[in-house]
Amino acid sequence: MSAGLEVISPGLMTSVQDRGRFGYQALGISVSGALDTDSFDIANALVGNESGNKVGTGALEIRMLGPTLKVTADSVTVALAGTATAIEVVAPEREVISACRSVTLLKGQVFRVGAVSDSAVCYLAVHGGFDLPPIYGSQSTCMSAGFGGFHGRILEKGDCLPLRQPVSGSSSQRILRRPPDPDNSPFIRVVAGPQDDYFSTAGIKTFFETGYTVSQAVNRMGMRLEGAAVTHEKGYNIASDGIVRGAIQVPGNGLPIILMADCQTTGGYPKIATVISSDMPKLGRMMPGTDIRFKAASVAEAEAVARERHERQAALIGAIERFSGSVEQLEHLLMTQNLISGVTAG
Amino acid sequence: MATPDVQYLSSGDTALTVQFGTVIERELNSRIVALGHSIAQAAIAGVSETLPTYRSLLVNYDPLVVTRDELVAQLQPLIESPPEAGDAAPAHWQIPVCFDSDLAPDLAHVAAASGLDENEVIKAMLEVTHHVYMLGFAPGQPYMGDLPPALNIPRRENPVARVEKGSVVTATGLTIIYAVPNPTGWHVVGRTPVEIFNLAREEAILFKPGDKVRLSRIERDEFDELTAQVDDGSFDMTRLRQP
Repeated sequence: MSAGLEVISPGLMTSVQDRGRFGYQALGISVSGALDTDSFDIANALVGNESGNKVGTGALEIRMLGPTLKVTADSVTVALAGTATAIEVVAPEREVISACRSVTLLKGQVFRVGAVSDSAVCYLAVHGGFDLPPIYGSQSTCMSAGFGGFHGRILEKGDCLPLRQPVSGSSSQRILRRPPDPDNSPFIRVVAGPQDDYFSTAGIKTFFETGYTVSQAVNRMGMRLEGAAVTHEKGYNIASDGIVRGAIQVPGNGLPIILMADCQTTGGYPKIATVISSDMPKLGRMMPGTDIRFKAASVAEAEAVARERHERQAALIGAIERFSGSVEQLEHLLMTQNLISGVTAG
Repeated sequence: MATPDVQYLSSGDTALTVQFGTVIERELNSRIVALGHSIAQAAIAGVSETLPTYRSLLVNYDPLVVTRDELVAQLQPLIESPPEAGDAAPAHWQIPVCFDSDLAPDLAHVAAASGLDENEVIKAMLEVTHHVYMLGFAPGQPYMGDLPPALNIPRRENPVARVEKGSVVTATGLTIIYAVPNPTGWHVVGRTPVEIFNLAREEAILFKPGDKVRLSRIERDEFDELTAQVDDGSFDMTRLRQP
């Protein structure tokens, strides 16, 4: 067994994900991949992984409650992003490492990510990534078909995640001093279609003008919503067609289901609208009980938002700074941040 | 064939559903599969992949590289030009299926719903040369047709939570062979020992859209024997190919 990270406790639902499995949907292969690609990219950038390719480097997607891991390699550099929850080193000595900075941990150290209360998902990236075979070009775990990631499943106690490059400890660390503010507004922008003509005028009005709540039935395949039923006009069966991540299908009971990263490639319910790609990370972070209001956008508007998001994300990653890794320098960095924040606030 | 009257439906800002019609029809489906090949050959900047289904082609693209309007302008001439032949001719397959009652729990229901008896249902399924319209829902899972009109029966009102891989299911005049265990809203009428999806094989996925599939009846002893061969890796996949 190669050295890496040993799973002491797996957390609620921890899986290896990268940006997704592209190019095989025609074969019935789901895309999968990180639900919150924005935070996934930041986590990888914080540990110095290249983000040049479309697929990215596999990281751990953590849901609600994170894992406890023991370092069995000589050392590993990790970073957590997508939450304000910290990494806690629990053995041999306790230490708290805030999110959005990297840290190099040494053989024998045990660390964990506890309960995550500010997002449904967050990402723990490791420098160099995991030494797991890409399947159809991706390390993402496809749970429904049982392949990819670590043996096609969520992590279990006793698993040992092999590292691709267990490097000796580097003194240089990275930090994102000002992570993006979480967007807590209920608005999710959608483009109408592809089957909005299957719904009555009243049904469309219900969809856009009443609010919905994320139900407990939410997983990597789909998010069922609670709220007012959307009425169909032409029935709720179509000859199955292709599905994209973010498609909102409405089955017979009229309650929308938003299809997420692990969704099947095709489906036979009419799709009233599709969440714009830029709002998918936000949607992925939403926990059960969160309120949602749908807001109509044109494709041209969605394209403009996609360009803005791309630039904003590039600026965030560009703002990641290197520091020596010493406690003194980190304190200095954080103090500078406080001073600057203080000035802006005043 | 005349240029089909296509509709460009938006699937958000990253995909376009190019819809050729609303019914399931082989000629239409062949045009869709062919358009997928044409798009691949044209290598349109920003188009990442396409997904053919019964009556539409989902074209996935990167909105940072190509806008919807630019994409439509590039797709239109491809739709109007004669369809490209695919990389490979359709393959012909013969898939062994056992119809024993424990492997075909819904055969009696299908018989009752179609007005046929169980042997007539089986006979009808064996006589059809299925056309693979599309792969979907799970890796390599074929949606095939068409069964005779009597077998155009509705799906279940309540889906069942799990059917085994290899399950042969039918509804709405179509047939699916399950790639992996999954819930189903269709009726289970038989099972094949053949794994239509297995990542350990060089060709993990058996079928492609456009392929032709015939089912052949096997008895329980042969089903058990073939299952054992599949499990120990000695099953000869080449026996499934028809000339």
